[in-house]
Amino acid sequence: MGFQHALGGHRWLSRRATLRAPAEYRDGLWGSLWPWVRARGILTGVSPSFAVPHPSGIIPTRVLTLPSRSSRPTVDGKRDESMAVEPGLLPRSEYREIADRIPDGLYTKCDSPDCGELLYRKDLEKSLWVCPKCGRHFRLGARDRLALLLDEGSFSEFGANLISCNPLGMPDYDSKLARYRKATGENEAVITGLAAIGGHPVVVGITDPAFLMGSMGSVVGEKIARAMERAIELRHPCLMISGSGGGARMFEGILSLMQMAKTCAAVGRMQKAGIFYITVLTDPTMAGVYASWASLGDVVIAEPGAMIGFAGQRVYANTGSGMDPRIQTSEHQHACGLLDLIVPRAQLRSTLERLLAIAYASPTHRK
Amino acid sequence: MPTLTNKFVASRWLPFEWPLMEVEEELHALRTGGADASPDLAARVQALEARRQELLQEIYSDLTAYQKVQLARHPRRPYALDYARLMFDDFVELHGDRRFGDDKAMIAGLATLAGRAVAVVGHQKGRDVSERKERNFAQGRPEGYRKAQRVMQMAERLRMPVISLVDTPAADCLTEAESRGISEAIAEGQMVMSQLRTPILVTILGEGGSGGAIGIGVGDRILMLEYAIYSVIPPEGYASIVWRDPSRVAEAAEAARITARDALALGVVDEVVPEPPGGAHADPEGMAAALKARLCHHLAELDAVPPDELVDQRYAKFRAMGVYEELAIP
Ligand SMILES: [Zn+2]
Repeated sequence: MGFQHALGGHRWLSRRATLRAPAEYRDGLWGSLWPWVRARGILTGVSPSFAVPHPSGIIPTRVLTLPSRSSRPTVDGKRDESMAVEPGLLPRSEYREIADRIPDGLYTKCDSPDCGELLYRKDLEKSLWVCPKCGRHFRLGARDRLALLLDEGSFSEFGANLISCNPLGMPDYDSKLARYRKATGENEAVITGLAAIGGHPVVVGITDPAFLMGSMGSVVGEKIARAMERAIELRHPCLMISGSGGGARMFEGILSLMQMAKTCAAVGRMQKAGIFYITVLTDPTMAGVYASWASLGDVVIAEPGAMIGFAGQRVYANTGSGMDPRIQTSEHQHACGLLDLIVPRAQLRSTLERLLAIAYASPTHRK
Repeated sequence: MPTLTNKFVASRWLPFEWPLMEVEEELHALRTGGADASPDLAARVQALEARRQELLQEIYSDLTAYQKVQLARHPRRPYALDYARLMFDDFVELHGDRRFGDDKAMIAGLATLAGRAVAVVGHQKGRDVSERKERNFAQGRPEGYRKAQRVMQMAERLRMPVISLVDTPAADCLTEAESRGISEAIAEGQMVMSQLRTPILVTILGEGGSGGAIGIGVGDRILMLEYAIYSVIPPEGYASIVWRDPSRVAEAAEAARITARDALALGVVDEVVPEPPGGAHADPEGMAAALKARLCHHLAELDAVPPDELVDQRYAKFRAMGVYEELAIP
């Protein structure tokens, strides 16, 4: 399955990474600037735009323009206005967080600190946003990842009508939610729905690190629990993909902690009903999410090099003790027997397909 | 180790209790004959006693959230093993997860509560420096949670209710815990408890610290002592994340809504068990008796519920937790 097919051809997801005549840049002006660009690590900005209409029709179509990593002029000396972001939309650090999900330059630097290779964007697209040099798996937006994994046109979303409230009256929560809704085009940090992989129906849920670090509040917990109940009802296997660095959502206080119990209880119900449950842990999967539904899969899969662990670095900073970052990786967790498989992005879809085929050969599921 | 009741010698007064401390010191001086045995001694003692009661009422009737945090973490607060000693007719502690080792931050055992068999799990803090270290500051490790799960599953087989006593700042998160799957152990704990076909009574004794607490915190009734806290992040962490200023901890304690009253209002706990003025450590025996009475009351209620229904009700209980808005689909 080609990446173009996966991203470009999807029914409801249309993502157009408009690259402007790359060959010209390579040979002409760009070519002459290359050594300078390489030395300074300057990235040009060509921004993909997202058009994400919700199938429920509740949320008006929002077109998201990813903010650029740098506001420097592009090579031809003009600012790329397509990258303009409403001023004051997000604090600086959060721009970076969202910009990091998909690098938006014509060239982009590998974000692995040991690599830093300057990569041609088109090559990155071909390699499914995996660094060809070091194998670094870049973060993907939830819709992009679904497009990569699911049968084309098979996804029908449910639960998009659940909206977070501010039950504790936290001062910044409402405005944060509004900003992330606007920036990601999603209502919440999780997307749930019914889909198929290789013709095998599956209930799927995915958390997106671009929305409040994929943290789990009441809506995320509820949507995941509903998805699992739907899987039991339909007798389909359940696939949950986590990209949650935030764990439980602090803004919802103790209620967010209860979402851990809620989702674990729902997994318990699936186990009792004999529903096959796969979890895919992507970068990052931490804290309250890893300590609930994400680690309870019948099969737990991780992407290579993903940050996976219990406590965030901030906790260690507070306690004054350090944590070797190599401990909180897919590879270490796999070596400790905590994950079944580490599967490179290019093989993820086929791996899921094989597992689902086996699940459907068991008497507990029906199509 | 100082005894719990030897209040004066072992005391560590909290800042907001200082007026009380002065009265207590004066009383102590009078009683031990530090002052002359004057004829009005009895009258002065009586007056001071009255003043002490007055102050206790005054201070404890209106505590701030951060004062409750300090009480929840009070070094003289009764811990799980104190309650085990005070509430149960008999208690036999069990050890080890049968997989890796024995975690001293977590206790588990079999006991009789008012004549009936129960299984007990709980976090255990240490009283002095060396015991605190030995107990890992009540930060449970994976083997601790797995020990608790083993004992709870045994309780299910033997049809004994489970009494879970939560008192942890957080779960252990260092390299060894991470490598042995602390996340998986906590997740599994919640799942096991959600499916257990026997009554589970959870009590937050002191600190209900996020994942560490919920790992043994799923049950049919969730009780919370009046000055206990239940939080997804400690107030220190909240202050440093939200305001990047750890010194605003008192403000954070208020904003993060972590007191028993907050948890009750949010529907996360079913009942707040009142503490004596001065906190649980002022009268451990009285506190344990009060908690025991509430546990027995809830057990009697749950006895009437068949196991399948019990599990369904527990599922519905946690399923209903959370606040969100659901828009109508057009
Ligand atoms: Zn690289």
